[in-house]
Amino acid sequence: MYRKPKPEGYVEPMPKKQFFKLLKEFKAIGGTFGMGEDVDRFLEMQNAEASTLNGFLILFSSKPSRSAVYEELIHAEQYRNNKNDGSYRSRLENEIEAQEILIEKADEYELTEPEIVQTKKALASYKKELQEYLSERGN
Amino acid sequence: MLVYNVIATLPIEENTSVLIDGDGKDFKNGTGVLDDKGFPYEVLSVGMSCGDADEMLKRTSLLIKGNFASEKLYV
Repeated sequence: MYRKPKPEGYVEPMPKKQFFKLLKEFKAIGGTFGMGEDVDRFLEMQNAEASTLNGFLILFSSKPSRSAVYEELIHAEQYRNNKNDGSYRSRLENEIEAQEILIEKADEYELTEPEIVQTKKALASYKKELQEYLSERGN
Repeated sequence: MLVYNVIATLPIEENTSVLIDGDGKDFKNGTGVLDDKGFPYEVLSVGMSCGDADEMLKRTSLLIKGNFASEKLYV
């Protein structure tokens, strides 16, 4: 049987069973999530796989990757712990922390090589952006 | 006063998720904004989105209190 090769950098979706288990845990602490065609369209406008809107509300695309699911759960926890005041600096700092956690727990989260590569790239981008932002502000 | 283009909106229960152009440096949780008719709204929180980092910095998602339906957002 011939299988079409996956494109370079292809990131596979999180298995449904694992995804729904994590969603169940999130719901158990009062979390809600949005999914469906409207959410997919909204996220596509941002080229995003998912988006955390506060500590208890996450929008997920239909087939999010493992890294996207774990990253958004981290962001929701950051919000619940009052680490994120929504300012640009705070968002960048939270992004950096989230990418660092993903890299540190890559084995536990079973992240694939393309996801690890993407996460390291994101970490570098957010660090650079924070450095530039702080230097613009004279910090 | 600064004006932002609204790219998309998504009603979420009694609130609205609003996607705007730009990195959103002028926003934080609780920021007051206006729609194109001058009606005031509150930014409940600023979204944290997952995707290519450089792309994520080009647009900002906001959770706005109430039903926000406007093509421009003023802050």
